[in-house]
Amino acid sequence: MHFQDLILTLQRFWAEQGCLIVQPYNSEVGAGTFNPATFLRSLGPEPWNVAYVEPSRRPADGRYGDNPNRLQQFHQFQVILKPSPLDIQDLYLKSLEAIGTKPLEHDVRFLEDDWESPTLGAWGLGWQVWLDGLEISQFTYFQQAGGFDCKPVSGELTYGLERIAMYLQDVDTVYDLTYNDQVTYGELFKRNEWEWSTYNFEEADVAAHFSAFDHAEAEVLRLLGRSEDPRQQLVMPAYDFVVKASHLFNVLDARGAISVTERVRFIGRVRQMARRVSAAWLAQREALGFPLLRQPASQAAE
Amino acid sequence: MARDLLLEIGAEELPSSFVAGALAALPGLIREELASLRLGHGEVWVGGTPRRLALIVQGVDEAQADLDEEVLGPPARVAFDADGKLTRAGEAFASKLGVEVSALTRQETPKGEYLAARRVAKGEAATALLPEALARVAGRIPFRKSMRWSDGDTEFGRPVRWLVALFGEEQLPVVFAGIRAGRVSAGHRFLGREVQVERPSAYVASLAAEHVLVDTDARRALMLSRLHEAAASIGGSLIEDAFLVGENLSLVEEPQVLVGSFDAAFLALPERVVLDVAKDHQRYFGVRDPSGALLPRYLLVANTAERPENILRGNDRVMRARLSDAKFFYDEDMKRELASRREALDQVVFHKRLGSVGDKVRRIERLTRALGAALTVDGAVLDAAVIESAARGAGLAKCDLVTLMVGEFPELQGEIGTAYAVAQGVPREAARVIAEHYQPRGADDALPASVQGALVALADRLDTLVGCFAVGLAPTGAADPLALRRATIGCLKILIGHQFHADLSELLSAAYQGYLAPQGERGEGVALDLSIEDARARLLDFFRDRLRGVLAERYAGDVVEAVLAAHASSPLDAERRAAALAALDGAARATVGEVFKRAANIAKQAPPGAAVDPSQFGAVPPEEQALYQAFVALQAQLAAASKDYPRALQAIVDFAPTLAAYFEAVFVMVDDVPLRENRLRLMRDIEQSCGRVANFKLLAQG
Repeated sequence: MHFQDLILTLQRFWAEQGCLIVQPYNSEVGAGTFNPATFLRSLGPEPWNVAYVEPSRRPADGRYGDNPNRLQQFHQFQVILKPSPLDIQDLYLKSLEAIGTKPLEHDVRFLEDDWESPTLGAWGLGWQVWLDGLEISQFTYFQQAGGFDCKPVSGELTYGLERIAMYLQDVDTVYDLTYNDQVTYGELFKRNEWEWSTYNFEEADVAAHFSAFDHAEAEVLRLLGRSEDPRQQLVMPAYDFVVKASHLFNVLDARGAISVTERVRFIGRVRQMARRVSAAWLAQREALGFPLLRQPASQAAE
Repeated sequence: MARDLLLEIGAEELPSSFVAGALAALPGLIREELASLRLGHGEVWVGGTPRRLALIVQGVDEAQADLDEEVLGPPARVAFDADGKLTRAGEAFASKLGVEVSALTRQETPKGEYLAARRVAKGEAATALLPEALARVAGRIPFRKSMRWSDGDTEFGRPVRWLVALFGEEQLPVVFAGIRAGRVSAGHRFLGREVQVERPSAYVASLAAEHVLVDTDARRALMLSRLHEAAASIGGSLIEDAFLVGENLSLVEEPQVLVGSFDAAFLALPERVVLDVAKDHQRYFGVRDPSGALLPRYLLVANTAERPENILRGNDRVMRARLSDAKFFYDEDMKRELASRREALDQVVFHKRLGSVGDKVRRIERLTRALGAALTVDGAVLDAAVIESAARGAGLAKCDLVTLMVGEFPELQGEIGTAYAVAQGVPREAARVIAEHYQPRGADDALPASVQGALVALADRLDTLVGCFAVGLAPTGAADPLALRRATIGCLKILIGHQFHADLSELLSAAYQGYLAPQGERGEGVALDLSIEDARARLLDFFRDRLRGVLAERYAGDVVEAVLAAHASSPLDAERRAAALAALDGAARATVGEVFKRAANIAKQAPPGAAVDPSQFGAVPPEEQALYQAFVALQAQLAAASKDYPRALQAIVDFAPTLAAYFEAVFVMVDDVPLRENRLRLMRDIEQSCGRVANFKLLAQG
């Protein structure tokens, strides 16, 4: 199964389960969780079922294209089911079957793995899923996001697409993956890895990143502070600046520009921003009458 | 009539520690509920897998025992006012018990008159009571972390999926987490079908038919026998590991064992690295050949094994990738001399008040030498070459902290440093210090095997203890985030186990001096809050309390107290005195205790100064002369015995009857002042001479 077929298969599968298929967020994120389709939508009472691919950036994980497994940009396939359906594990196992791995012919296990994002003030409990000894997915029941209790609880499924594809194609390095029948993953991304690794570790302008971080933080305050009325607040642009601040921090961290003690402080600043935006989002949805609560139940997974 | 009771809580995969914790708590929870319902019952069984927690109680009563009891209320003076009318307190008692006010009586007790009532109730049927009781049990199972799911409010370790609740063959309508119990359980997630449970006694067998071994012991036994079988099938033996057994046991409902393999070239890596990669990341067991060498094979416990080739292909790939990573780290790390990494330790913070790890290494290097010079073993000083190699090991002890391997596999710290040092030609005695100086890691861990390792382990811990105490980081209450209690116990066990004679006070002073000396390139000492005297005094108390615990693991409490009350400046010396004292037979110990208690009580009144004047002991009574002569002889014997405590104690035991006879015959507190004072001084001298071994009066009396 080519890399793109894996994506298409998962999209088809989850669309058939009633998920919206949305597109990656158009700003750098460290994980699919940062996409507002997960982070903001996991807050509040409205049902929400969505699936999408998220190219995820982890500047510190860059290896200049030299490491067979580690990348500064990789692809997650993200599914959010809210409220988490009672058969969510069965649905997940069916999705594995859809990509050609019948659970009975393999060894599938759910190993305790709790998830926490200090920058997002979010945490949940769940598992890493092992397929024949390989970790292929994260499975999380969100308990809090932005410091707020998640009610109802969202179930989050995150597939590590490169890992799964390497397993399915039986290759030892990510760059040998076939993207389709013409082009390899290496042809598409190896040069990209070298350039971004060089940028993140050596070339990123530290002063400019620090000042951009400060600017993003100021924008969050300004955009939420322009009115007392939640309907007049610019929640989406404000959240965009949270996402940007988080990525700027990641670059500075990779660049070695942040000391251990400063690190905690920067994470705290992003968390504060995420918290403010979460509160504003909840207030705004409430002011709008939680529009998706009125949607017919067919929106939910069957 | 009585019936068996079954509760099964089906859940999504519970973490292994959750299952263990829940199974430990369940018997107590159900017993408590049944007791409060006045339902008699037989044995309680619990079992569990990742997907279920179950309990069976045998022979639960059909109905509560009928109730007919007299209940005492408040005292009559509280229950009735001056006019003899019932007070509010009296009314409250009646309404609490649900009896009419007219049914209240007064009852005379030894403590006075009390309000009383007779409570009579027909016992209710168990079927009416059990559903709620079982729901309460489910709700009270403790988990390290609980969660909510979907749109419910129930908290549990993982989402609850089904419930089975049977009382004999009857279903109980238990409702928990929005789920109503029935008799349908789930078989193995992939191999099994639904299970109709007829009755509690059929539960275990019905599940076994659907590939679920719910009895934890049976599952463990099968897993272990399959592991041993698999190891034998490749001509090897299983490397047993309690952690792996526990983890794997709680990851599967029916254990299947498969044999995986990896390229033998990876065996060039240190054995610990290979085993750690297998264990910590993949939960695999290692296998040795008959010569004890690692085989390039591993055992994995799977939940299904319908297509072993698929499972092994995947696991072999993961193992290969992990070992390749480890090999890469190993090769990269080996490109540099371990010693050259000391510089990087200056950048690693030990504690913000106490400087860098580099500073610490310099201190323990010096302290190792100081300890080496201060300690004796059986009266002999340590060999200078041993101290030198220990100091070299101290210099290397922390270097592996900044290697790639420890960055990736933190649990290899120490072990990998030794492996690198040996491979780079560092003499083995110095190299092994790196691994050994972390020992003992906990209560059950071995001590450093070599003298060198022991010296550095001591130096490292003493440095940490003195530094932390001196900047106000001594543990308070139960909290001990820096594990200073464990470090102290480690020091004591090393001193005793390695037969190191030392004055603790001197060792602590040496450690304190280390902080005053210039640290690295800064050229100045560390600023501490406590003076050397204060730090030492607090630590001596701290050590004494831990020593009490260490000795109490082996010796009776009164023996430990008697020994510590004498003195505790050398832990080894205290241990030897305790051993000798404990070796005495109980009767001899009690006699000695009794007679010395008497001597000590009298000696308290002795005037200061002046030696005993033997000329004052006349011929009469003869016991006085006898005692004095015996004491002179005893002193000579004690001096000759020196630290041979069994011998010294025997001399004291032999002396005790003479002392006892003296007390029978001689009245010390005579009116004749010079005579009395002389007798008191003799008591004082006897107590002081013998008291160097132990404070005998603290021994338990027969």
